[in-house]
Amino acid sequence: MSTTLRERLSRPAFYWGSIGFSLSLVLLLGLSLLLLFWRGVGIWNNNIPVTWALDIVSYDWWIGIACGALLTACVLAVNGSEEYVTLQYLSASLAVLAAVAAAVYPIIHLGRPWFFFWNLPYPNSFGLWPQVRSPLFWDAIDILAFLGIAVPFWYLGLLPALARKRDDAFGRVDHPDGPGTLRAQLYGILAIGWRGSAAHWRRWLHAQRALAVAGIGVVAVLQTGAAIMFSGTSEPGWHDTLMPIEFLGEAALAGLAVLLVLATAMHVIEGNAAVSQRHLESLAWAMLVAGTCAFYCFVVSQLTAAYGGDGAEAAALHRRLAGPQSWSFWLLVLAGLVPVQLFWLDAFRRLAAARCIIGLLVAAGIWGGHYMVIVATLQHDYLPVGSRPYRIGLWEWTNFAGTVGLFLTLLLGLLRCVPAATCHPAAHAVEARRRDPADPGVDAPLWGVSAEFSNARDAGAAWAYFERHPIARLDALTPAPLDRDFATSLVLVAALIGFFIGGASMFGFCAYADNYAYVLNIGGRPVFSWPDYVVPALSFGLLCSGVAAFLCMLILNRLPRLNHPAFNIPGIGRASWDRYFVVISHTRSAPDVERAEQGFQSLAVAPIALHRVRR
Amino acid sequence: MIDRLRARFPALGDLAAGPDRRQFLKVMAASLSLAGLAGCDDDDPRDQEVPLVRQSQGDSARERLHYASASLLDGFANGVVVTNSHGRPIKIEGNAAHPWSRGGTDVFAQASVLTLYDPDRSQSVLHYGRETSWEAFRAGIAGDMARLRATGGAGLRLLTGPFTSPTQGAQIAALRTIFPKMHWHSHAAIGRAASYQSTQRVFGRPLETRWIFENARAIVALDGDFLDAGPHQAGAARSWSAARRAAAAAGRLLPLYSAAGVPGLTAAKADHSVAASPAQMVTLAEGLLAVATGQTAPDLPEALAPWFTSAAAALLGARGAGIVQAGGFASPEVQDAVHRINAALGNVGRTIIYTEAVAPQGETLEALVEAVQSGAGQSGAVQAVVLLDTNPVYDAPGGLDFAEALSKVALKIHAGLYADETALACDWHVPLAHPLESWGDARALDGTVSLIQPCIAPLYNGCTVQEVLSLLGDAIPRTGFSLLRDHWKDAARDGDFDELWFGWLRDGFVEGSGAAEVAVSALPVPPAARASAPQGLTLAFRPDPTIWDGGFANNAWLQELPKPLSKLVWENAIWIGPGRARQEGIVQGDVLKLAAGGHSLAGPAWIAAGQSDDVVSITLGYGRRVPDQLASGLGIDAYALRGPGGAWYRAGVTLTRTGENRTLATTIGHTPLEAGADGTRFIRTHELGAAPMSGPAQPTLYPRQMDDGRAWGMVIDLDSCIGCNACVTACQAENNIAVVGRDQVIAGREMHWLRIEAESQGEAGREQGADFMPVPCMQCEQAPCEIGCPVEATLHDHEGLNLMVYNRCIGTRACSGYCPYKVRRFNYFDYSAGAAPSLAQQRNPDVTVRSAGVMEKCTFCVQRIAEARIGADKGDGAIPDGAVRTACQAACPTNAIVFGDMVDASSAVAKAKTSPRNYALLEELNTRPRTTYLARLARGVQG
Repeated sequence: MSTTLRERLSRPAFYWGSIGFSLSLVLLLGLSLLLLFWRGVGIWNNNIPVTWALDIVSYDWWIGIACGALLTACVLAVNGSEEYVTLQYLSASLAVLAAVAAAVYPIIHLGRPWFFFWNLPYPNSFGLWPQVRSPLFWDAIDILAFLGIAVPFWYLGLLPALARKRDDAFGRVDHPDGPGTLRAQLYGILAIGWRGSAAHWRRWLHAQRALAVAGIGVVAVLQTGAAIMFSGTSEPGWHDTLMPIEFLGEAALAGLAVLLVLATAMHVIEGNAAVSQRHLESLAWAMLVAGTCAFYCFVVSQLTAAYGGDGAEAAALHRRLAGPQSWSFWLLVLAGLVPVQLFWLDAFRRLAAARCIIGLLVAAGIWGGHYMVIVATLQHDYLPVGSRPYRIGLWEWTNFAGTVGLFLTLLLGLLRCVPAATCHPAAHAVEARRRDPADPGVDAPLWGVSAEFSNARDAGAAWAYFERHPIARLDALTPAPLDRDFATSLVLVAALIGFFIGGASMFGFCAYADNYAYVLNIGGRPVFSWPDYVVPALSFGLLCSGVAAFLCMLILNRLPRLNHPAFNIPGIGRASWDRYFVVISHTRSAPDVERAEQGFQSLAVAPIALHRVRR
Repeated sequence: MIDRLRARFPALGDLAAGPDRRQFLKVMAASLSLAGLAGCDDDDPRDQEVPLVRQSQGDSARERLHYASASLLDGFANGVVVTNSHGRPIKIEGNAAHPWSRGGTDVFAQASVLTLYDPDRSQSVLHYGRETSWEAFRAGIAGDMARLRATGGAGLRLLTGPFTSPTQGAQIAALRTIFPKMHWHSHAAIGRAASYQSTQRVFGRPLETRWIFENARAIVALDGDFLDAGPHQAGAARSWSAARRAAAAAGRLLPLYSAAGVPGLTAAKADHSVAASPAQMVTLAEGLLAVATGQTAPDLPEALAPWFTSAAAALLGARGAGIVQAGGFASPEVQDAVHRINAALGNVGRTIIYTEAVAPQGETLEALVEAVQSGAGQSGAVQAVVLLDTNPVYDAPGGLDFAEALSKVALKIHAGLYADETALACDWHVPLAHPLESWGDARALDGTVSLIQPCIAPLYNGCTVQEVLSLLGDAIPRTGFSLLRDHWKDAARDGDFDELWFGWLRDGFVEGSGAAEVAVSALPVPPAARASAPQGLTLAFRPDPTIWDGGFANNAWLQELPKPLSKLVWENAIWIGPGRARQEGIVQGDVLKLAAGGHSLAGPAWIAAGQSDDVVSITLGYGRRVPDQLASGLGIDAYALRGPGGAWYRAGVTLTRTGENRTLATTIGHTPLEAGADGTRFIRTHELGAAPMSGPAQPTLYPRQMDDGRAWGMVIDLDSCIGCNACVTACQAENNIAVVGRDQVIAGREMHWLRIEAESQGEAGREQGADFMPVPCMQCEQAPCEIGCPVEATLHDHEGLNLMVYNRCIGTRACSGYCPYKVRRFNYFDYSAGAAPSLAQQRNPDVTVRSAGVMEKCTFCVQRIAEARIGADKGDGAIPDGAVRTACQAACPTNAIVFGDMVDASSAVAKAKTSPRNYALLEELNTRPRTTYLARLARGVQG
């Protein structure tokens, strides 16, 4: 990659220019929403029969990207490889921000958005619960579950990086009353007192993996749920049994594509520090897998429609191929599904420009796919004269552009506040400033002895030594987990219990609402329509499991806790970056302290520094 | 004191100080206008109306009253029953007892209730366009009238619009005794003059032609119109459909053959139809006449020969039981030949009867223009014209230049429902009252006199035509009520008049007043009768199926009503045959320029399936020119090209393309009409005697839920449906359905709960054939829409209705996406909020007005079911069959819609569902719709 381009992209002018552009798009979003709320959804071109158009297309596209990104992040987290931690961070951020962009639509697309909460199960004066057989209710629960899992997962992954930023910021404070202090304090609050304790790391790992598993689950439920939302109708073209898998594959493909573009851009701007060439090529491989899966499902679906013997399905296929909305079909095929196959060739995986172009093409192509599925089908189903023209209108475009602006603004802001490089301590120990904590004074009671090491190996040796020769409470404060052993813990048990309780309670709620609270004849279906309860029960169970794991991790780690004696260790600021502290704490007597000091001194590699720490 | 008052209450201070000059004039003008109103309306006779049904005591404000009355089209009456709620007429129903319309209605009757509240209606007397009062009008014309009276009415011309009122006829006769030298002219843009002229030529006098369908075995329509919109539609369509049903019950088809240049509803419903140019129409008519009189048939082009052969065979096989019909817009040669064919075949007196002409005809408009132009500046000059309920400045033929002639007359008085083009060209304009606020009478096509009674006090200060005539002729102007009652008191000599009178008012018509059949004999054909038929491209004018001659152009329901065949709304277009379009490379919407005789017009092309390639056609009524009215600026004004005498054809027009293309507002999608995905047709036909259409019930995992008392269901007979739209307008009136305007229709957002799909079959032998299918909500037992809704805004009730709970709807629109019939309508904007306050008075108080962001749809008129249920619960709990009639069902002139409780095996709907023709739309989706269809009849093996 040419240095000139990198320099150009790294200039502040470029960054602020991008922010300015994105913010103007957000302004456009605000404007179109204002008009939308004032005049009604009629400002879009939606009509009868195309009641869902760019609103749902854009929603499906954004949530697809979010799902693909979350899936990638969760798989990386479950895999647990340290090498991919920055990619995981990028991917999880992408998931959350795309979900935020998506979350604009489910409310604003309503005819009467101010009543959106009628779709949620809350106790109300009507005594009327949502209609739980509706896939739209499932979707509401799915979105909540997605956000309820993706946000804690992302935040958990961000926690060590926030601690790093906090320590860095405190190190840069020149004047106690200056703006730097406020900045440092803000990071301090966001980091909720994370100090990299060994016990914390263990529960953190467990919680992250539990959330990752829940994340994979919710992605599957959400995407297959969306497919079921379509197949719940009688519309032709919405019924192929491969559709749930196709949706999943396309979502993964779209998420990976956007991630690849972002990661490539990061690579160009920040060099190997954030994302390595190896990361990028692995992403390209992953896209190839997802793309091939989606392509297979797509081709088989079309063949089934063509040869399945159902005239309506065949006619729907014909309209997709050659009808007024056929451009979307060809956009999906030619941009979304075919170009990714170029990744079979080494050159295309290696070349940044190729990756970017293919990634953007795929994102656009998948958008076309959603458009095809929704608009082409709705525009003409069974009765020929029910078909009316639909063309995307001005305010649909501004609305969509606005969500892109929102996404970009949040992304640019996030990457500035928490650069991806800060996520990976081992890869690049930047010149972290030492932080000299306020001296608690010689009169303060002693808390423990800390030894500072320059690497994990030496700290591990010290840890092992004191495990063999226990003195008092042993802890380590490290920028990354010392070991990644994975054993059962309370966090995992909480996640499991959360899943079952959440799932059962949602199933129970659905059964109650349908069978006892207000018995209604809905579509002539049996009152106890248990298959309809499965999707929301699953996603709500996953939500509860994720939330339980997250909360369990916080509670057991006694977090948030902004102040802790460990923060009195001189130079502790580097504990989140490149220094490893082993601490013997809760020593009440001087002999213990001396024994600990002697123990540290006796190690093969002596600590860089040894401190008595007061509380 | 006054100063203190003014300081404290500025507004009161002004009053206390006494009126200043300006205010005095204002106050006096107000009281004068009140006096003028009283002039029309002495001792308020509107306590004289007789409700059809006297209802029980109760909450009188909520009580609905039903008055028998009549709706008017070109002066002809159809019997109606007006529903009043909270003192306001809100809905028109058919009057089943009326001998002519027998409960059928048309779109004009259904929509008349909106015209009543039209804020654009004329609201005050105008003098040179400035508002003034009735009193000022009387004072202003008093001198002129006295002068005219002194000269015996020399120079006075009365011009009336079409009317059939016996009272008005008697008034004009009386007026001519006062003004012996007065000339009376009549003008109707559509009218019946052409038909009367034909009988005049053939039988020597103007006659009304009527068709006795129940005696018929074969029907041939040559440019026929008996099913098309017009005064005859409700009655003729009703008896035609009854006859066709009776024939089918007897195991035979009552075949309809149609040849026409421009496809209309009659051609669309024909079992055998063919397109023919005007010249070919004459050949066909004369050919049939030749065959009927035993001569040899002429040589015909290949395209027409099969049709001619079978039509001729059918007529000959049904001597004395055939009907040949030609519309008033058929060319004179065809109309004359048709009378002679019927006479030759012995149909007259059996299937065709003649009665005296119902609509009185004065001298022509041309004679008036001639008199003005020739007499200008001379002693015999036309000094005063009184124009009553007519708008010739707009709808006179363009070549006549009526406006120019009118401007030469010294005194011009106009009375009309609107301050229209003619009003603006007159010295005086006085507002007329709407029939729903008037006393009056009118005859139906069969001569039956209907009495019109007011259902509300005049909203806008109007008088009736009879009252205006009284104002001109009587020393003391009389009220419409006394004019009417006294006329009939004189007419009915024996018996207790009060009893008769109340009986007539209650029934809505005068028993036994139908016109008697007259014996006719055809005059010999004059030797030079054979006119040279027009050659080349001919322009045909047709009445507009929704706004008629333009008089209804300000009615938003009618403007937004899709025209039966083209589904155009808010505009008309130049219809052109597909062959000619192909040949000249014209596509839909291409702006064409038509020129003839120095006049020209330009408008968008509509390629009309089944139209003869030698004809271009335009409907009348568009291109209105009154500023600031709903109607102004819509469509193209076809009157500009109309030839002298209001002829229906104009030969020798030239057609050029302007190169421009316009988007047409139509409710048909841009994809061409096509059969279903697998080649199945949605509008199906059933051959007589064939096996039942619906297959065995489809398998389902769900139990059928029909065990909750009643099960409402509907059956729509596609063989009877003529696509007239009466049901659509009735539904709009009953259910407060919003009008959305042209742009929203183009965007695909019209709100009609009931749409009529028209499918061109393109079968051999049915060139102009189209089938109509009214599609309301199917009320599926396994309704997909209900599954989609997350907030229970749409759900099933215990009687099988698929309900909409409007205030629960949050507007996800999932239900519409889930609905395979696409019958749901969404309020993309706050459509209802924009209606004028006066229009809001029409709304049905029993139906929620929907706000923005809410889905809506047909619910089988659930408010009517609820009303019946409440009534039943007060009694024995049973709702007898037929007690609930949906608005669409009640409006239908052909009884095509049957509604009722399917659980009751003896109900009409349960019986209809057992018909072999019964089938469900998209049956294969297993939604189990409660609305099913009876397939169109076709000639079967026994046929």
